[in-house]
Amino acid sequence: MGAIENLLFGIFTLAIWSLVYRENIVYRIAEYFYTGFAAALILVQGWESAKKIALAPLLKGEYIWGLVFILAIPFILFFYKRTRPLYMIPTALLVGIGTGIGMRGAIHTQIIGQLAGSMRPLIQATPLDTLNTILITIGTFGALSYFLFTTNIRGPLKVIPRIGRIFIMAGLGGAFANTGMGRFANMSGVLLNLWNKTEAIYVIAGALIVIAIDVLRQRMK
Amino acid sequence: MSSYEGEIRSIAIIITAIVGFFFLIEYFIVWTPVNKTASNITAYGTVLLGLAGIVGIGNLTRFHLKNIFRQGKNWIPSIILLISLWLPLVLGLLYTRNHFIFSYIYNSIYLPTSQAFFAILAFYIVSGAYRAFKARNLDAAVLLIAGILVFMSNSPATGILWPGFQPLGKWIQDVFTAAGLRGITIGIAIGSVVTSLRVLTGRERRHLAGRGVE
Amino acid sequence: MIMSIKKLMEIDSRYLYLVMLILVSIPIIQPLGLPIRPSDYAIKVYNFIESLPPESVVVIDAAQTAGYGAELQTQYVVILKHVLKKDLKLIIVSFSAEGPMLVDMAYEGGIISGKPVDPAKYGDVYGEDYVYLGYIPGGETAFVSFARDCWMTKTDASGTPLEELPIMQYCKTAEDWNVIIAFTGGNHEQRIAQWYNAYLVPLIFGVPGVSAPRMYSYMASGQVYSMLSSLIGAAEYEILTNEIGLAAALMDVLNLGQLCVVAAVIIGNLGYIVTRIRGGK
Repeated sequence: MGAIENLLFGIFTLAIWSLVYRENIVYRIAEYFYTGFAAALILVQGWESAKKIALAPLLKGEYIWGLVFILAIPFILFFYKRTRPLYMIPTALLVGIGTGIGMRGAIHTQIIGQLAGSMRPLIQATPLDTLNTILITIGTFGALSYFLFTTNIRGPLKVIPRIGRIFIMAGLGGAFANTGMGRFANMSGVLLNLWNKTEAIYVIAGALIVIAIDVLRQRMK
Repeated sequence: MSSYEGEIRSIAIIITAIVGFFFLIEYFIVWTPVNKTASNITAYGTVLLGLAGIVGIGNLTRFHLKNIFRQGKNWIPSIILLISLWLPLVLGLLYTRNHFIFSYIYNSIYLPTSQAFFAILAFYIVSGAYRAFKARNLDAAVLLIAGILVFMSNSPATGILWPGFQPLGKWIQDVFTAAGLRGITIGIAIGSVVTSLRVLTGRERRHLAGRGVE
Repeated sequence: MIMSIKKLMEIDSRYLYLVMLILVSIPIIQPLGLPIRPSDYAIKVYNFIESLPPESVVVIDAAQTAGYGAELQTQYVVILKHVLKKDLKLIIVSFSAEGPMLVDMAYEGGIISGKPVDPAKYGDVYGEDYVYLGYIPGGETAFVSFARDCWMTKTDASGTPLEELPIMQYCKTAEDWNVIIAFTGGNHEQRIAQWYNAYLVPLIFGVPGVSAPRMYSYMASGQVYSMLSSLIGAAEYEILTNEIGLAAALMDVLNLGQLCVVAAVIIGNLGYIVTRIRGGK
């Protein structure tokens, strides 16, 4: 990376991190730049893909691919009031495909697959595996009962959703820890580059000066 | 509302139902003409989804142009957004992503910004852990203890303090996290299947210009 | 005493951020060399790839994004090196818009990739031993489409027709795959549904930390073979393959950062308990 790239790296990283100090226009500019480019990236890549998969065969005589481009026209017509409703046609097609595929995937993978995974013989080869299988079975059905039964269960059965809730809390504790690990992993990559690039260090120094001036201004008020 | 919007919406609901149920049923059919048709439709859908970004870009442009002309909130960043949107877009569409300005912006600006966005949450995790993560009752205590143990197991350096942190953290994740989140996964899947059925039967129409939910 | 504990509990968060930033920056200036021990999951992935017969088809779904770069890109690079070392047929495809940029970065080197990966160093020839098919949009629809027809892109990422690439004779549909390794921060269930459940292809994930908890239930049920979780998974794999790179270098910062959070939790709770015992709110 050259000097200008290092400088840009430092500027935009600290612009985003300036949000932890307080909301400011530098953060907004960086955020909006990011949003604009992200949108451009998605369409550029989508068009590249469309050229390869659809346009090239169309130009070679596979005219069925023309249907795709005809169906894409309502996406542009969306912005004219009179023709806006036509947008519903390709949307309906995409939603139909996604819903049909998604539904069969969800049933097979997340419901049947997961339930089957919970219904294992309780007695396993080793005592630890046996304990784990018993705990997983109890925990899964407890967590399910906590979610699926919308009435308040009273009496002796109320212990089942209570156990489920304990398992969910333990699971969420682990999830929080993994999320924290992930965020610090991202931070480690940023910090390594910030501290190892000379120009980025100048930006850090500049940012510290700006913060110091702001703190002094607040004190003087 | 256009005069023909109602008719188009009805056609759209029928299309969703036909296509959706076709894919559901196709799952159980092993017959080449049906499977080939499904493969072709998914290929068309793939390309169409790639082009659907046009709507997002148009909406962004319209919203931020209005903001600039009205000099609304954050109108200066809106100018930046439109520049960062249209300049790479035009270059990318004409010259592909390998154009040096496009890839320069990606490597020098977008990539560090993206990383900084994800990394900023580390700050809030620390302050959240300090302020909100309190063992006020049994549930919170379980959450706290599991969280701390998994944190310790995810830091291999804690093996110096006690080698048992890693196996203990792994056990918590293999048993408690797996069981607790499995229940949540199944619950979410049941909810998504119900919503999908509502979409396929036309009771849920939010995806069609936002009008009409039964 | 109560008042000072209360003040400590109500301290401005920005002081916490500053302390944390200083602490996690220490290993960058002075590396600590804290130990890394490979986990069972990383060992399982390593042994699986090691046990693949020659000319097995390995499909890599390079769906990483810049945001998860430090986690997924480091995993991608170390797995890429391992697969290139062996006599395997490697098909790389991206189901995320940023994938192509990051696949290129792995070969060129970069801030989240470390040193460049040179397939020629392992004796691999493009088109015969490995190929990159480019980006396929569409999410789950694309997973279904690609599994049914791996030639759907018609050309590779640089425009070469697939008929001219000998490696593609090994890969027509998902039934030809020996394993699929997906580096992604989302759509895990959809990949499991359309690849493992539909074709019973062993599925290995490289996931960011935030997605790892969901994978435990799928690994327990056998739907996911194993996974590399976050930067730590990449570092463990670097130790196993003896290709020490960026991930191992970043582990010290990660270790200290996590210990900061643990310290914050413990101090916060100690203050809370003391305040409660002495009758405060």
